[in-house]
Amino acid sequence: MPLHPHHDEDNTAEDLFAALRHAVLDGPGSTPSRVRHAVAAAKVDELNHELRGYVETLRENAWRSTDEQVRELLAVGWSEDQVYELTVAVALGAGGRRVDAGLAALARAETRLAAGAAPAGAVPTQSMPASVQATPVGAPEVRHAAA
Amino acid sequence: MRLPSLSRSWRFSDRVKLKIIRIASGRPPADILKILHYRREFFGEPFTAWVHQVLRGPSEWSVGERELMATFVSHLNQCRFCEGSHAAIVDATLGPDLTAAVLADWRTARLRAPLRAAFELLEVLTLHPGEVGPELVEAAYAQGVTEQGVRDVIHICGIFCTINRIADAVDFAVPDDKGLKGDAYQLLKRGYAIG
Repeated sequence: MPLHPHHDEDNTAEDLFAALRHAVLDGPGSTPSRVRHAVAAAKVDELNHELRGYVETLRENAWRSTDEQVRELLAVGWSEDQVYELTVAVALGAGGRRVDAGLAALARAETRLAAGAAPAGAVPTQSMPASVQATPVGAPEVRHAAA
Repeated sequence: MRLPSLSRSWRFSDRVKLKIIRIASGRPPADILKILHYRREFFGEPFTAWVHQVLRGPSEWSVGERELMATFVSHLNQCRFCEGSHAAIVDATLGPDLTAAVLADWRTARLRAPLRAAFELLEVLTLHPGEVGPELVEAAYAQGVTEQGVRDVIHICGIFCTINRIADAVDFAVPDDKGLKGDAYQLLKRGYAIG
């Protein structure tokens, strides 16, 4: 897939995800941005009937999507380019839901720690045995995933 | 692939690039390459920049460990293409037995403690994102995972919960074993960003 190794260490993963979300939901496209936002947020009430089933399948059980579902969308007038945009928007909505939920949990954990509610058993990283400390950046790719 | 027009409309330089890949590999480019180069500004470029940073950028998780997480999330989402693609990279980096052990039951697989905590977070975040609370993050901290390490896990989950859905919606063909190994070699050598 990749042809140009590229490390842009000035951008955090959060920055890069925000840029992706902006490109997919707000960038130029063949579907209105409003529709892309609606499918990403799975606001099915705002969607045409023919889109609802497709969006719900992709969001919850994408492996169950079928040729027939795509054919039906094309048959009622959506172009392949539009189906592609909507597919990406639904998928990104599902991925973004995980990112947002994870970062919210992380923020709550940090707030609790700052308030002095460190969980029982929490041990500062520095005091962990070397065998369980974080792998140094650039460490050789040896089989250190196994205990 | 369900949307065949995505195999066209590439910019000229990408058509040349994909032709070279076809000649060098002796087989058509993988469906994911077609998607990533189709209107690349819309999805392929920003998506692969994110993926490359998370899977290949600086991290307390090794490349193999991050690929193992990618395989696990893809498995939970039942995406055969992504599971196979990233499992081949795990095989090449961490050995051929670990993926099978993790996918059979990560709780009994031989994993170091921080990685075990990461899998617990990944499982809940992938399957039940509404149920993720600070306890899972604190449990990871207790095993020595840093805040940035947790961020990396969260982003890996987000990346694969996105691309798994696209792969299944568009119905990416799953390469044979030889193809998966070839792709794994390239992904280890070159990374993900399409530039």
